[in-house]
Amino acid sequence: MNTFRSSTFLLLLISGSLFISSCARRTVTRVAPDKVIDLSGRWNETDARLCAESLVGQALTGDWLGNFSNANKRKPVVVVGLVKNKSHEHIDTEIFIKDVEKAFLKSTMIRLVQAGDKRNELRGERADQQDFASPESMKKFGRELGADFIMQGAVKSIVDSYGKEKTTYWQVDLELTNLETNEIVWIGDYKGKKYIVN
Amino acid sequence: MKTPRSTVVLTALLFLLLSSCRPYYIRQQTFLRLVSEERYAEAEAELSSSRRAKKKERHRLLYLFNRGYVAFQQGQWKESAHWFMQADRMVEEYRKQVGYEALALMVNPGVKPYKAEDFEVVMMHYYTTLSFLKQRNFESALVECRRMNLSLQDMHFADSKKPRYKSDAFGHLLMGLGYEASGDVNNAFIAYRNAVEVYRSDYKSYFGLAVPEQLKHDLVRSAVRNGFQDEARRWSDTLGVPIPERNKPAPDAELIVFWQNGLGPVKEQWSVDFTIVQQGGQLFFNNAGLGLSFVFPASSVSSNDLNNLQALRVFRVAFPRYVSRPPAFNRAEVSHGSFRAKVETVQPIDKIAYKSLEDRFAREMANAILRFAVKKATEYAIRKENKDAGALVGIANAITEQADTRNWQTLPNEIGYARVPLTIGENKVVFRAESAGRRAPFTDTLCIDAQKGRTYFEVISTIRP
Repeated sequence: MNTFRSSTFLLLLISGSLFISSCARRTVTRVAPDKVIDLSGRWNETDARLCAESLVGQALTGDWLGNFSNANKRKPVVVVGLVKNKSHEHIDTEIFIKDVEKAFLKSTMIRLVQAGDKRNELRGERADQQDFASPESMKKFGRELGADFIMQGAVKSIVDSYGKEKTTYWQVDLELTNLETNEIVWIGDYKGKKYIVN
Repeated sequence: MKTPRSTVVLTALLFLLLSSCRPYYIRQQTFLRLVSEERYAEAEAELSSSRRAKKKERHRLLYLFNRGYVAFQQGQWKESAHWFMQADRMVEEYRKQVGYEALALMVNPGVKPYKAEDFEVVMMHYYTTLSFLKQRNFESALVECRRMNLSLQDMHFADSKKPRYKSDAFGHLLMGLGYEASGDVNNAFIAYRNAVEVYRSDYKSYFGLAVPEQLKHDLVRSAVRNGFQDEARRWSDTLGVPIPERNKPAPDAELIVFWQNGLGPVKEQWSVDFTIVQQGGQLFFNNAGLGLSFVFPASSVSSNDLNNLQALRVFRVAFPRYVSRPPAFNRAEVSHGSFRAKVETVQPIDKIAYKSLEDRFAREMANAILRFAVKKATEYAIRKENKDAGALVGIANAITEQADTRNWQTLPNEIGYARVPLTIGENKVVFRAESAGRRAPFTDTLCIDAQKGRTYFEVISTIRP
C-alpha cells in the first residue's frame, strides 16, 4: 500500500511541476536604464555604460587636454577611428563609443569630426552639391576641419572556465594619437570581470 | 451505447503511442525531404510554419540549427549568422534542470531540452564563421573563431577520460583559415599546429583520417610567414613537405573551397533485452548477446522495489543508434587552368557521430536501465494493489519507453576542403565530384573576381542521394 501511495505521489508531483512550469507567465517591468541587471554573464548594457563613464572620466582629466589647449590656445579636434572587437563576444562597440563622443561634446572642451562611413557619405553629398545645388548654397571642397588626434582602441577578453564555473575578464583600451607626430598622448582603459556559475 | 471509460483511455493512449513513437527523423520527414532535394526555400517555409518546432522549448535548439542551415544554403549569410548566434546562446546557457531530469527518469530522455553534441557545436561555429567570412566581416569571423576555441577547450576539459572524440581537428583548421584570411598569421600558425596534432593522434586512430596534405603545407607556410624557422624545419621534416622558398611570390589571391558532401546520420530506436540477476549485494543487468553487463548496488533500491524488479527477470530498454545516409559521391577535385587539387576530407561527421555515441554508451545505457527499472518497479507495485491501474501504468510505461532520437539531421555526411591559387580579375574554378557507382559526375563552376591579397571562401554542397 505504501509503495502505491509513494508512486501515486511521485506521479502527481511530476504532473504538478509540469502544470506549474507550463503556467509560467512572461512579465515585463520597466526599470531605470542605469539599474544593474546581470542575466547571462555576457557583455551587456551595464558594461557599456560603466565602460563609457570610466573612459570619459579618464580622457577629460588627462594631461593631454590642458597641454594642447595651452600650447595652441584652442580646443583639440578629435576623430574617432576604429575600436576593434578582439573579444570572444559579438560586441557592438559603437554603443559605448557614442557615449564617449556625447560626453566629449557636452564637456565643450573637445571638438569632434566625423570619420569612416559617415565621412564618406558627407563627401559624397558635397560632391553631389557641386552638380545639383545652387551656387550660393553649395558647400565647398577643402574646408573640412582637420583632426589633431585620432581615438582608436580595442576590446579584449580572457575566459577561464572549469566545469560549471567561469570567469570572464574584459579590457577596453582607448588611446589618443597625435595625427601629425604619431605621439600617443593618452591611454585609458576599462576593466571588468564576472564570475559565472552555471 | 455508453463507451466504457477504460476503452476511451486505452484509445487515447494508443493514439499517443502511434503519434509519438516515431523517430525524430520521421516526424521531420517533409522538411528533410525538401532539404535532400535542395529545395531550401520550401524547406524554410515548412520549418517556419511548424508550430511544434518553433514553440516547443525542448526542440528549439534543433529548430535554430535548421533555420540557420537553410538560410546558409540559400546564401543568406546575415540571417544564417543570426539564427546560429541564437543557437549559440542556447548552447552556452544549457544546464541540467532537476525537474526535467526527474521527468526524464519517469518518462524518457526525449522530454528534456535537446543538448547539442560536441561535434554539432563545432559545426554551428563552422556555419557562423563562414557566414561572416562570406560577408567579409573578419572581425566577427574571428570572434566566432575565439568562441569555437573556447568550445573546444570546454570539450577537452569536460571529460578528460573520454576515450575517443575529445578534440576537433576541423575546428582548429577552420580557425587557422579564418585567422590567416584576416591577416593574423601568428594565431593561424597555432591553430594549424593544433589541427595537425589532433589529425595525427585522434583522427588517425579513431576515424582513419590522416593529416590533409593541404594542411601540412598551410602549417609550414604559416611558420615561415611568422619567421619561425625552427618550427618550419621541424614540421617540414615531420610531415615530409618542403619549406617554401622565402622569395617565391605568394599567389595574387586564394580560394578556399569547402565541400559539404551528402547528409549525416539520423538516429533511430533499438531495443536491448536485459536479464536481472542478484548476486551478493549487487544487481546485474546482463545481455549476453551484446556482451553487456551493468552493476548496481542492491542497496540503491528499496527492498520492495528489489523484490519487484527480481520478479521481472527480463526487460527491454529503448536506446538510440545512428543510421548512416551514405553520400552519392566519394571523391572530388578542383581545377583552375593547369592547377588541379584533390578536395580532401577534413571532417568525417558520420564517423564522429558514431564514435560520440559509443563514447558515452555505458553511461547512457546505465541511465536507460535505471529509468526502466524505476518504471517497472512502480508498475509492479501498483499492479499488486490494483490490477486495472497497474495495467494502465504498464501501457503508459510501454508508450513512454522511448529513446531520444533527436539530432541535427541536416549536417553533411563529411566536409572536404581545397585551396586554389587565383589571379587578379576573373577566375573560373571548376569543381567536379565523382561517385564510385553509376551516378553521373557533378560539376560546378565558381566565378571569382579576385582582388590582390584576398582570400575567398566558397561552399559546394552535393546532397541529393
